[in-house]
Amino acid sequence: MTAVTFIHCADLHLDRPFQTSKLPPEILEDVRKSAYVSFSRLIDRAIEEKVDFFLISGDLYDLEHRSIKGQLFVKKQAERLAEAGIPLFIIHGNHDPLSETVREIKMPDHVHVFGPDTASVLYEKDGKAAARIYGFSYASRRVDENPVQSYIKTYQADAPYHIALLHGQEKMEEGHDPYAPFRLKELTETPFDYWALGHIHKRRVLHRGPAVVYPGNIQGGHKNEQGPKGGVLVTLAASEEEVTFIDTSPVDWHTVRLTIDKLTELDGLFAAAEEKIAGTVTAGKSSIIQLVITGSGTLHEYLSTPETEEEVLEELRELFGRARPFHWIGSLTVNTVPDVDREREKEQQTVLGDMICAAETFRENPSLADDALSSLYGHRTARRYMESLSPEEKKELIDQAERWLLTRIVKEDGA
Amino acid sequence: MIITGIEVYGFGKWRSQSFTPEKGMNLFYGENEAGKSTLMVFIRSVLFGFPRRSEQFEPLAGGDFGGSLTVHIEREGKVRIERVRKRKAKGDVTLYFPDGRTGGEEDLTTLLEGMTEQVYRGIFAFSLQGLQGIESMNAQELNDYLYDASLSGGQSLLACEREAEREMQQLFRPRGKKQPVNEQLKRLQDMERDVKEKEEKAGSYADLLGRRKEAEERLARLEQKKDQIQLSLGRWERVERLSPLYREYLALKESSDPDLTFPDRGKEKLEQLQKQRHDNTEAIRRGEKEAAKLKEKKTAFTPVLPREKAVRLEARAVELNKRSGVYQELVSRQAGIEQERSISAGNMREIEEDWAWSRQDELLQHRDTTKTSRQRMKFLTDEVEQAERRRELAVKEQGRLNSAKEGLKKRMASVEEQILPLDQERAYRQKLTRLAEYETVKKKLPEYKAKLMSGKRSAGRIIPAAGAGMIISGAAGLFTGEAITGTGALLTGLFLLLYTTFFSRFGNTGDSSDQEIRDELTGWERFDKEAAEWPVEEWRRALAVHEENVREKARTQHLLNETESHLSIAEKEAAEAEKLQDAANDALMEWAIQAGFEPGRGYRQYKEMVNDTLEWQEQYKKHRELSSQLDELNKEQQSFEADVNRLAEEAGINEEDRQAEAPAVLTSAERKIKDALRAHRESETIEEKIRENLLRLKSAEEELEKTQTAVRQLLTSAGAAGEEEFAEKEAAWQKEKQTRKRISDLELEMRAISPKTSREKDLEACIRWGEAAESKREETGEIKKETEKLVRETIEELSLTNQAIEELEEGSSLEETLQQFELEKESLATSAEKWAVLALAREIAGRTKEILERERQPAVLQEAEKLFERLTDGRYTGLYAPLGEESFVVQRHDQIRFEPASLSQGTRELLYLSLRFALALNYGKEVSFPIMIDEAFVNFDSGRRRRVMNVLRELAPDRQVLCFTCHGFMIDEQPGLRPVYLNPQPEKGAVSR
Repeated sequence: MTAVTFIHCADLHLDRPFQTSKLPPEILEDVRKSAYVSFSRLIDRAIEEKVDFFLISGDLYDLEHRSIKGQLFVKKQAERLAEAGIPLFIIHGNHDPLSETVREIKMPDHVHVFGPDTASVLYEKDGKAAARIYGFSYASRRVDENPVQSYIKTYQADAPYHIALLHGQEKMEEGHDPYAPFRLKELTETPFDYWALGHIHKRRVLHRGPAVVYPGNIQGGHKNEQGPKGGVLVTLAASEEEVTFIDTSPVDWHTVRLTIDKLTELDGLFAAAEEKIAGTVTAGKSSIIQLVITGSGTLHEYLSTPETEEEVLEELRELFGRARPFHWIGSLTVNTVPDVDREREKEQQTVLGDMICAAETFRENPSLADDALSSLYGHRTARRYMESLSPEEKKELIDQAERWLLTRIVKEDGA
Repeated sequence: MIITGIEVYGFGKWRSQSFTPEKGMNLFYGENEAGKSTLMVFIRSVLFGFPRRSEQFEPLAGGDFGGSLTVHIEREGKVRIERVRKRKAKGDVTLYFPDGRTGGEEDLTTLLEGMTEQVYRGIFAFSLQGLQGIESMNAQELNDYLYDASLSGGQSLLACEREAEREMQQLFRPRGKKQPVNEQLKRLQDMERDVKEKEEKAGSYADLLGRRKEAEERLARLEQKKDQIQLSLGRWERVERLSPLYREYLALKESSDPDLTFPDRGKEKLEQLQKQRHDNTEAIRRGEKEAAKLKEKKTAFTPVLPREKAVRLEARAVELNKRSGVYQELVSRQAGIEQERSISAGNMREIEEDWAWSRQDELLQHRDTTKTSRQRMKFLTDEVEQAERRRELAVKEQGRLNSAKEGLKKRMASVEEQILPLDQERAYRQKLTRLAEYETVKKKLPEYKAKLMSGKRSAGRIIPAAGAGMIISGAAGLFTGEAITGTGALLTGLFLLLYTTFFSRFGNTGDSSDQEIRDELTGWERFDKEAAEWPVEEWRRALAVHEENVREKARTQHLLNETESHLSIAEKEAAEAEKLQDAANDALMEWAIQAGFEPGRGYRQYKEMVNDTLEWQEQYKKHRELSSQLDELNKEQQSFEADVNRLAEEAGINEEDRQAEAPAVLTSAERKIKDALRAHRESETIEEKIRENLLRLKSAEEELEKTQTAVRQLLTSAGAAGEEEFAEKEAAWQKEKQTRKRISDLELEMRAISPKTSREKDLEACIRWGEAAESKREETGEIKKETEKLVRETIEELSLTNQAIEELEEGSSLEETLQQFELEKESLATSAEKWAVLALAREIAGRTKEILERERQPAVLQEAEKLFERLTDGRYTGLYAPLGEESFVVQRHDQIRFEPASLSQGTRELLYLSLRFALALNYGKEVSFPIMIDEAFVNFDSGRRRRVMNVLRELAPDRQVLCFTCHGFMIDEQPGLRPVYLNPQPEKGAVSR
């Protein structure tokens, strides 16, 4: 059996706007181009590696916004692949279902876009069957059925390798709409050699032998899509499978946490931030950093006013300047607390202790907070523009509220 | 807990100070800056740790930083708490228990039942601050304030709640418009609309593509139609222009006679021929006239020399002319050579006269002056000269030697005179020897005399001593050059020595020797007297002179002998040289005769003679050469002159003129020859001209004939009998020609308007439509304009559609709006989060308050009610907190209820204190903490203050109260109390630890 190599990526979400606080125009420009750059780098790599074919497992476009530009861009990249004689296999996902793609934009002949029913294509290498590739595209925005059976039904044992493109949700994975749900076990019990998944934005190799791979999206779009992004370079050979991550995202998101526990001077904080950030970012790549300051100590009081918070953020941004690749401090969250022995306060039933107890009650049951938040979060207009809060987010808010109160109640006047 | 001892090691201005408070009320009095506040901080610091910025309390005078408190706690008894600042910022704490145990921070926490400074200050510390501003609070504020006091002793739970509420309101209101979040929402709505609009546009992409296709097709159709209309319009324009032309064309065709002919350009041709005829006649007349003129001219040239001769003579003249330059040079060279020759002759004469040689050129010429002869002569003269010089030298030496000999002889005679006669010399020497002997003995004489006198024998010692002395002086004499004296002394010395030796061995050894010595001594004494009268020095000098002269004589004799021998050598040399000279002279003579020189001259003369002869011979040779050169020159000159003369004669120069200088003759001859040649050339030219003229004449006559023939032919071709008829025919022809030209022009014009392909149809249309073509053309023009307008509109539409498509494909507009939309959403999320934190804080604060209200407030209120009644002297009897209202109601003794806001300032303050005291008294489990009052009541009037103080004392007899003040009246008002005066002067108040 001759080996086959290919690049597998998914969730391009070209044209998806970035969820970020205000950015300087030149950085915003880079960020806006980033998904396009990442994809074209993957194409570069495919041509460079002379792969056999290229797979995209859905959500090429963020079609909520009808990405004509995105489709034209993909067409251009597909033409590059066609020139290099590399076929491109595409399935569409919940974001870019067949019903919403712009049919006027025609892909070159080397591109195979799977239809709404699971089907397969035989890939031949030097006149011999080398792999059979399976897949289906979302006809509309929702596909709720478990798709695994449809793959098994179309299976034809006429090629050395069987590769399935599937855009959907493994039931254990969280944080995405549960479309085309399936269980990992169902996949590993099939005769397929490689499951080229899409939909989950975090890169995961769920299983080896056969490989079940979410390559993640190709470019982080907000603070929760952290670290390097790209695609995977896969080699299937008789005895082994090799899955290598290809880092192509030009801009990475990072969260950097700092503690003020042992710091007494602001300079120390800046130095620590610089060091920590330098240790986090990838050399040669740009990054947007969410900086979180925690701990307690002498700097707490200074940091606990909104004005100083703003000043520190400005200072930190200055520190990294406007060089390229850029390292932009996207946000600064000050989560420092005054030096309070929570247990003792609780034990002593002081006002502080009672307050901590009250906050804990909320933390244990975050939905208690809903009433307090409903006037904004449930606001007729506002809720259209805001995501509903997850329990974690609520807990985080409760923590902040508790810190807000602590800081005010424990205000030393030294005299 | 009662603080029974305060010991400051060092804290702020305090150093080594101790206080011993008691249970119940304690009054600490100190003026401003006495250190009251510092002492209060000290107490709290020992209990709860040094404050964060404790540097300000570091002892001013140095030393340990800290101190200790001794407290009495029921459970434990007396415990000393010591806190000193060492490593930890809080200070290092040590507890000393009564049973000897010690403890640390944790034990202290247990001891204090986990009390924190925060809580302690909130509940147990009273200051002026707490009461400040109560008078000016509005109802709500007062309520909140009192409420907080009842819950936490002043901690701002309620204030937090209110602050959160306020900030929330500032951020967002559900029905607000100006709050940031509300504004954001408004912006988002606008943006969303914008996004929708742009998305809809994106949705129309397919439609746009369709429209573009349709527009492109429509445009193509219109363009096609436009082309057709253009064609038709062109046709009508052509027909319109063609019509009048075509009409004229047809009319002219009718009037033309196609058969009419006339010679081409006949009129011009005839005129030309007539002119030619006239020219030919003129030429003939001119030729005849010229012939006569040339004939006359020819007779004027008759040359003097025949042509061939002149040419020959010219060549010779050219030859001679070349030689004429050489001739001139010869003449000038001749003078130079003649001068040189006379110089040579002069030189020869001079030499001849010098030597008085008669002019025997033959003889002188043949003298042998070859190099060999000259070398021989030189050798011989050198020989003679050398021999002569040798002889001269020898004779000179002879003279010198003879005079030397004479000198030596004279010297010999003078030396011999100085030498002493032999006997006299001998006498001097003997006497001097004897004297020398005596001089040796003389020194020893006294010794011997003495010995002789003592009877001891000392035989013969004088003589050997004298002998030895003589040897020494003799040897010395030999060395010093007194050879004779020295030798004498030496011999005498040896004799004396030998004599003594002999006698000392074999001689007498007895008494006889004494006699001898005595004799000897006597002899020497006599001699001494005798010698004293001798002229010893004179003898010595005479002897020295004598010896010198003896030596001189010997030397002179030797020199004389040498001179004699040299003299004889010199004589021999002179003779030999003379012989050689004679021989050389003879050889020289022999050479002279052989070489042709006169004999009998000295060798020096021969040297000169040879040189002069050589010179002469050279001059003679030169003279001869120059003479032959002159002969040559003369010959050449004569030949040239002869040649010139001959040429001149032949050229016809007369005898007389030929007598001039040759070059002048040559010049006149040349001129004559040139004149002759020129005459010949002129004559030839004229003849040539005559011939040419004849030819021209003949040709003109022929031309005339030809022209006449041509005229006749032309007339015939026009069908005219004469030249007049020819003119008539020509006029008719001109008219026909114009008609034909116009027809041709019209054809060209029509061809230019209508291309070949459409011409036939166009002409047909001309016939059919004629003048109606104009209106047809206008009609079509209108249709064309309309079509063009449609095309423009379609292009515009297409460009707009393309622009829209491009915009969508570029995606920038939608993308930008979306990104801005997203940024705004993110910004909303941030604001919302900020709002949420506040909302939750408010909620948590509320919950906390509920707990406090439920669990703590009732007991506090109960206590406070009692206190309030006591403090108001029974005027107010009730205090209530209606559930959930966060406010109080007070009831007067007459059952009337008031809100705190309607109370007087003083009563409000008392209410506040009641709540605060109640909280403090209710706080804690086992340990009842001391209350600290920092000037809290100083603004009360005296009566009320006293009452508050008394109530405090009575209500809590076991509770320690530490009251700090700088006001003397506080002391006065509490006569039962023993105040502690604070005077932080460490030196005076030093206590042992």
